Amino acid sequence: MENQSGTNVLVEPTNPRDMRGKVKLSKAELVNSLVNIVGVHRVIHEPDYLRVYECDGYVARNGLPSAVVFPETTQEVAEIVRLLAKHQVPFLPRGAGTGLSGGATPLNGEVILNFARMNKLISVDLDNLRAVVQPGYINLTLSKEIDKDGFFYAPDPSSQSSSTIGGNVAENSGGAHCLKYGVTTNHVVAATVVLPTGEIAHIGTPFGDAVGYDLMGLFVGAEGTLGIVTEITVRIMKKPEAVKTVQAMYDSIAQASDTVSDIIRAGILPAAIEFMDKLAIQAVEKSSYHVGYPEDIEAILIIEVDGLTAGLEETTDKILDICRRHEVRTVKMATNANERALWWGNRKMAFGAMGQISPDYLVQDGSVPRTRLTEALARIQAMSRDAGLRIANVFHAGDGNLHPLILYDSANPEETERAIQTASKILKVCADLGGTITGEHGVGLEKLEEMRYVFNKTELEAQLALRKVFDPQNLCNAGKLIPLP
Amino acid sequence: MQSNLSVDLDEVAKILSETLGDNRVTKEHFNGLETAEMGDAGFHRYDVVRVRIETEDQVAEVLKAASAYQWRVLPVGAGSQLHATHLGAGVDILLDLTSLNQIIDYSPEDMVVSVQAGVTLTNLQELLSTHKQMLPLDPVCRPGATLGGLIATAANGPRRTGYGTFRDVVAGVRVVYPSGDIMNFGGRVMKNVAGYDMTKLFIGSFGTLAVIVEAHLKLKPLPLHRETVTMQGRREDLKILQKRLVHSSLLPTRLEAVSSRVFQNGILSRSQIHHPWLLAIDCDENASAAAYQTSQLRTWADEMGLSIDVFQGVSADDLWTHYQESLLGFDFVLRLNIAPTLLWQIVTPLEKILGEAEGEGVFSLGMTTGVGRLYGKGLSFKVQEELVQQARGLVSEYAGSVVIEKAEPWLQEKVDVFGSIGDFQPWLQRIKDAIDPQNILSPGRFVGGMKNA
Ligand SMILES: Cc1cc2nc3c(=O)[nH]c(=O)nc-3n(C[C@H](O)[C@H](O)[C@H](O)COP(=O)(O)OP(=O)(O)OC[C@H]3O[C@@H](n4cnc5c(N)ncnc54)[C@H](O)[C@@H]3O)c2cc1C
Repeated sequence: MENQSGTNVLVEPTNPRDMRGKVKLSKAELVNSLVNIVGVHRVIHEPDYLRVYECDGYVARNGLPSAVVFPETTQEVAEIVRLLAKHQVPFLPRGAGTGLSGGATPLNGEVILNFARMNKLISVDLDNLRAVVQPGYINLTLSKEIDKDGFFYAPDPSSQSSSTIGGNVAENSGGAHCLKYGVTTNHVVAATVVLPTGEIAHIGTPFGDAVGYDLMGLFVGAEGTLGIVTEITVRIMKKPEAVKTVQAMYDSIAQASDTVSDIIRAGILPAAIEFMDKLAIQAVEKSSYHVGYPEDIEAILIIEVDGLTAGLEETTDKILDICRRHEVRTVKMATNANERALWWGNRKMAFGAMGQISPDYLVQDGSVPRTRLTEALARIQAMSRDAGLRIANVFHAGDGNLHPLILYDSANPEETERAIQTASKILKVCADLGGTITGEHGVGLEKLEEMRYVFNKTELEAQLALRKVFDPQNLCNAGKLIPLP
Repeated sequence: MQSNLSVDLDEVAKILSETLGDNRVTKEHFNGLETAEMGDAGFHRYDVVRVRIETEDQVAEVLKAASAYQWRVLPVGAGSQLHATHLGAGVDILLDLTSLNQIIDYSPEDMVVSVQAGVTLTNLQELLSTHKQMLPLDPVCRPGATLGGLIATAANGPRRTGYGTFRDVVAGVRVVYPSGDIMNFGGRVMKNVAGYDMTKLFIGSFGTLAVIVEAHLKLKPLPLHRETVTMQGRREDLKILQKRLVHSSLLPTRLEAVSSRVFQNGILSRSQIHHPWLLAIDCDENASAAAYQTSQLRTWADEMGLSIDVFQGVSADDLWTHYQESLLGFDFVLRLNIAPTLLWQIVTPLEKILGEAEGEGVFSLGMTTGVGRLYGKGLSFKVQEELVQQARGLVSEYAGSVVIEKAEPWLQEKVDVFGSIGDFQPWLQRIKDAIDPQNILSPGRFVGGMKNA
C-alpha cells in the first residue's frame, strides 16, 4: 500500500502526444520553481517533514508528497497550479487533514497545496447575512467570531474545531444540526476557484441564483478534484432565541430508532437527533468527556429543538411524550447551558474516544432512509457477530446518516482485512436499503470500489467526463472520488 | 433564428411513429413561443413534431433517434416556463412530458417523494397535504406547471426565505442523456455525498443538458398554524424594519417587501392601503411562537408608527394565493439578484421609469434573500428595454445580476436574457459539449455563450 517513491500509481498514463513540448521537472527543479513563487519558507520538501502529510484522518493508505507548498493568495495558488499543469506534476489541496476517506492523501507523489496560511476571515456582512472566508479558515472560528452579534454558521461537523471551511466545501460536510439547517452545500453561495489548468473563475453568486449551470453546487462535494477553492462566501444565520436539549435513554435499540421516525412523523423538525449505542457510550464514558451514563443502557438519543422561546415548550412536551410511548427508561431536559455542553461534548468526542476501548477503528458513513434505521442497525449487529468484531454506533439519526465504528487491531493484518471487508458489507446493506455509501465523509480513496454499489458504468463514465471538462490532464487529486469504470 | 430547414418533419414524424406508435406523434403548428424574425417586425412561426411521452424509455428512444439524425429536441411540460428564455435556434421535436405524470413513491415517514417530470405542482401539493406535508416552494406559476419544468428553470418564490430553492429540496434525479442513456444521480436519502452532485447541474439547466424524467424531493411538515403580518410604512421605515428583522430571532419563512397594490382588491381594501410598500412577514411556527412573533412586530409597528394587519390560518393562505394569482397576470418579469440592503437602491430609479411610462409595474423584494422581482404589464417595448438596461447598469457596480424571467420573444432577441456572464462562461459551454456534444437538446436556450453552439 505504501508508495513512498512518489511514482504514479493512480494517474492514468498520459497520452505521449500531450507530453510534447512539456519538460518533466526534476525534484530539485520543481522545488526551486515553487520557491520562486512563494519563497523558501513556504515550501517543504525534506522527506522527514513530508511524512506529516502522507495521509489524512483515514490512515489505512499513505504516500509521500513531492513537496508541500503554503500559498497566501489566490494569485499564488494560480501561479503554482499553472506551473504544475505545465509540467504535468500531480497536485492536491489540503485543509486540516481531518478528512476520513483519504481525500487529501497523496498516492501519486503530488505537490500538496496546504491552506494553513490562507486562514483569514475576509469580511462579514451581518445585515446581508454573508461572510467571506479563505479556505483555510477553521469552521468553528467563524461561529465564534460572529457569536457576539448573535449569529452563527450552521454546518457543524464534529471536527469543526479543527477542520477548514475549504475542506468542508470539498466534502460537503454535514453535522449534528444539519437535520434542520442543511449541510455545507446549502450554506455556500459563491467561491473563487483556481481550476486545474491554473485559470481563475468566480462561481456562484452571493445573492439569488447564479446565471448558468450551478457550478457552485457541483464544486461542493467534489473533493478537490475539479479545482481549488481559494475564497468562499457563506450564508450566516441568526442564532435561535432558545434551545432545548432532551436526553433519552433506552433499553432497546429498536425503540430508540423508532422514536426518531415518530418525532419526524409528528411534523416536528428538531435541530438535531443524535444516537449512541451501548458500545459507543461505554467508550466515551471512559474518556474525559464522560456524562455518567449507566453502563447497561442500550441506546441514547440526544434530541435538540430550537426557535422562539414561546413555542418551544409545546414542542418539547410532544417529544417527551413520543419518547415515553417508546418505553424510554429515562428522559430529561438539559437544565442549563453547561449540562447541554457536556452532553454535546460527549457526543462530539465519540470517535476519538474509541481509542479507550480499541487500538484502532474504522468509521463508516452510510446513509439510509430514516424508516430503515432499525433494520440497518439490526443488520450491522448481525455482521458484527459474524465477523467477530465489535461495532459501535454513534450517528446523525434524524437524517438517517449512520456512523458504524468498526473496532480492530491494525497489528493483526488478518483482522484489519476483516474490518475492511465488514465495512464494505455495511455499505452494501445501506445501498440495498435504498440508501447510499456516504452521507458526509466522502468517497476519497476509501470507498472507490463501493461507488459501484450505487452507480452503474454509464453513470460513472458521465461523472468522469465532467471531471475531464475541468481537469483535462487528470492532475488535480487524481484517482479520488470516482473509480475508473 | 429559423427552423431547421434541412430537417423534413414528415420524415421525423414517420420515423418516430414507427418506434412509438401513431397516436403519440403529431405534426403541429408551433405558435406557443413565437420568435421574432428580425427586430420587432413580426413573428416567425414554424412547424414541429410533438411527441407525447408516457414512459422514460420513450424519451430514450426519441433522443437516440434525434442524436442519430441531428434533430433538435425541446422537452416541455405544461409550457408554463417557456417564456423564461428564448429559443435562438428552431426545434424539430417538442418532447411533451405532461403524461409522464406518476407519483412513483411517496414515503411520508421519510418525508421524501419521487415524482415523474410531468406531475403538476398543484397535484403534488394536494396529495402531500393529505399527509400534512408539503413541498416548501411557492414559485409564481400556472396551476398546470409541472415539476420537470419548474426544476429545469429553478423556479422559486417568497418561501425561499425560510426553505431555500429547488437546489435545497431535490435530493436526486433520474435523467435521460442525449445519448439515450438513463441515469440516476443522488437518491432518496437526506444526505448523500457519493460522487459529484450532478443533480445540481440539471436544476436550472433549462433542458439543455438532459431530460429530467424523475425527481426525488425532500418534504417539510405542512405548517399547522399559518400567520402572516403585513406592515405598511414609508420606505425609510421599512428599511429600518428590514434591519431589525435580520438582527432579531424572529423566524419569517417569507419576508417580502411588496408593492401594496398587489394586495388591493381582495386582501386589503383601498382604505386599508396607506403606503405604496408593505412588508409581508410570514411565520410557519406553532401558534404560540407565531403569536409571539406577531406581538413583537406590533411593538415595532407602534414604536415606528407603522400600520399593521394580521392574517391567520386560511386568511393567511388567501393572502399568498392572491399574491400568486395577481402576479401571474403580469407579462414581463425581471429578477434582480443583489445584496438585500441594496435592493431599495436599485428599485428607486426603476420606479421612476415606471412612473413616467404607460402601463403598470409592481415589485416583490426578498428582504433577506436579495432576490427582487419587477412585474410589468402593458409596458411598451421601449420601456421594458430601458428597465433592463437601467437595472443592469445599477447592479453591475455591486456584482449583482438581472435576469429576464418573462418577456415577449422580441425583447429576448434584443437584450440578452441573462446579461453578462462571469469568467466561468467557457466552462458552461464545455459542460454542454461534454453532455450534449451534438447540441440536440434545447438548442440556443441558454446563457449567451451557448446561443450559437
Ligand atoms: C473526529 C472527527 C469528526 C468528524 N466529524 C465529521 C462530521 O460530523 N461531519 C462531517 O461531514 N465530517 C466529519 N469529519 C470529517 C472531516 O472533518 C471533514 O470531511 C472536513 O470537512 C475535512 O476538512 P479538512 O479541512 O480537514 O480537509 P482535508 O481533510 O484536509 O481535505 C478534505 C478534502 O478536501 C479537499 N480540499 C481541502 N481544501 C480544499 C480547497 N481549498 N479547495 C478544494 N478542495 C480542498 C482535499 O483535497 C480533500 O479531498 C470528522 C473528522 C474527524 C477526524
